[in-house]
Amino acid sequence: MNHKCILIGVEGNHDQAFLEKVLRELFGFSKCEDQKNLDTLWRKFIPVYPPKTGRLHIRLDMPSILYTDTLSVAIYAGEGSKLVANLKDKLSDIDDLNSLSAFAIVADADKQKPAEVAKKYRDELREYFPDFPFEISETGAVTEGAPRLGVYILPNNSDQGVLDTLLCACGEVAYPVYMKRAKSYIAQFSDEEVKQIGWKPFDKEKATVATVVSILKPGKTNTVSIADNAWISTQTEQQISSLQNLIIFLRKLLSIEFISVSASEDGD
Amino acid sequence: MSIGNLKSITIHQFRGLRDLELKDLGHINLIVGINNSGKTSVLEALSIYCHPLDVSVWLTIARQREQEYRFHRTPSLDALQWLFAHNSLLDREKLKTGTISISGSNSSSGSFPVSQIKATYEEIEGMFVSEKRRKLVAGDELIAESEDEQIGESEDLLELKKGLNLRVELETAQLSLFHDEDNIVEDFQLWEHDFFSRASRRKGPSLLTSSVTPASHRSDIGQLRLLSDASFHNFKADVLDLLRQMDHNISDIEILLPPDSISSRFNIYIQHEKLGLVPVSTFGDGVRRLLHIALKLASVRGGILLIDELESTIHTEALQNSFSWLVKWCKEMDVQLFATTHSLEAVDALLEVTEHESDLVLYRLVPKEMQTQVVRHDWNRLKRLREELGQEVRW
Repeated sequence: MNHKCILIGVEGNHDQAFLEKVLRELFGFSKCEDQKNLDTLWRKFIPVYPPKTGRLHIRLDMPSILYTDTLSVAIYAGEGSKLVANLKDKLSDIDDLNSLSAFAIVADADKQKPAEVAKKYRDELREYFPDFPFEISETGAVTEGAPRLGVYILPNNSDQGVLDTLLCACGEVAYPVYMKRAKSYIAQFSDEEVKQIGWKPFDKEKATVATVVSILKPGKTNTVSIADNAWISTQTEQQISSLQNLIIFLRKLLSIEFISVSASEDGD
Repeated sequence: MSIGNLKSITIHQFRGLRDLELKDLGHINLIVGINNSGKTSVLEALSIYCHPLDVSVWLTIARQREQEYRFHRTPSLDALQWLFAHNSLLDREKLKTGTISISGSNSSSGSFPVSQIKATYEEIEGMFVSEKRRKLVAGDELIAESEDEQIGESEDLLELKKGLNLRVELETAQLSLFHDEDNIVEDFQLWEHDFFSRASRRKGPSLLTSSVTPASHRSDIGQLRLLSDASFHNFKADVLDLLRQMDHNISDIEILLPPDSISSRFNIYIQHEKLGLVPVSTFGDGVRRLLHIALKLASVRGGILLIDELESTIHTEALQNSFSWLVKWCKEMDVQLFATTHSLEAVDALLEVTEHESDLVLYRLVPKEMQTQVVRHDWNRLKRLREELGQEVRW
């Protein structure tokens, strides 16, 4: 294996499943399922379990590894707010950061504005990447260099929101009827009820997506539905501008000029 | 409590190592890396740095890797030459000179003043009266004058010997106690087959060190002296606790004359609740190596203990308790430990028995074309990497 290696940090498993689907469906990547095919750099990302005294059931993060003939992308999901701390520890153990072709963060803006989120990541990662970008446009930001550095703040680099904000937009295209019914169901919950339940900002969008997921994949998680259903497709890409902007960002980050449609079909 | 005598060390040139820097050393320093990454060389370089003018130590270090091959050992001077860095190993001519260069910063409270050592050698040749003639002259004073003349004139009785001109230059960071000036330059001339261990030992600055190799516990040399040393008796009870990690029936340890022996050779015996009084040599490697480490530790109070392959001979279930003992006594005796390991279980066990940032530092050696890179993890980061992220840290 001698691929150009790209590391993308995301805040959770849903973001990981979403980016994985984008790369498979729209860029023609395949998922690496066999350890012997892993690039050397990613071998160290496989958790080697420490003594489990008192932590018998803990599962450690394993990135999704996707590849084409020339590229290998690892999508590492940190534990939400611990993403940067975990990534910095991981980066500290790589003896030569130039072995990465690109490094990026794809995060959401649930508590702060996208520009503030981007700046926070720049400040925290400056130790390892002094040129990490923070001035984002609607297509995020990518700095050329070795490695290339990028940041993209969901849902669209300008509004506050989360992945589910973008998934709701995709659902309006892919499953308009189910989305309408789901929104109607969610709307039945009064402000007082959701306050009592303890909803946080953007939990309404999350509940809407989860409702549709429970119809599309009863008993399964969002990650399964994102992987198997049509939230991300060429159809949703054509109609959702924020998804198109993410594609432009990834093209720059991966240094890909064109998307191979045939490769995309092979990828699934 | 101080973190030890050495604060940092940079091995500019030593064997195959180039510009290898170990920053911010801890009390326990664990060195990991793939085969041939230079882990053992780092321990050797530390020994040389700590005994910069004691060529007998240099010679011991030079042949340390060969101690199990007693009959086919590399000649001393050849072994010594391989400690040095050479411009090209392919060009025989370039092996005739070599350089060692090591610098470090030391604890201000310590007494070791050396900040840099630079050594160079040049291969030389000389004609000597052969061993045969010397024996003749020394063994029979009645040799007729005419015969003596005949022997002296015979070219067969002169032999060509290989030698080394060795120059060692030291820079000291503090006002030197040994010389008027801050820099010390010493020249040595060493000849093959000469007994130079005493002749070449110069008074000079040194820091107490002791080395444990994967096989040194099988050698009796020095063990009796260490065991009979007064410093050992202060913690004999704890050493017995350590040995009980391997065999809980061990109750005492003594130096005794074998009951049926007609010679006066003493030996180390272990009092065992089931076996009685038995020589230590009949025990497995685990007991013998832990005893060996304990004896070596007691011999370097305030100095440095160097252990190659820390986990060797110790069963994984006994690692944590053994290391707990080792860490406790390293602190107690203010001994700074440098150890190599290939074992992730050893890393995890050491993490369990240490608790502060400078208690344990892991250095991973990564050989590159022009130099050896070093990845450093202090205890805090190492704990997160291992326990929270399950990160492989050995390669």
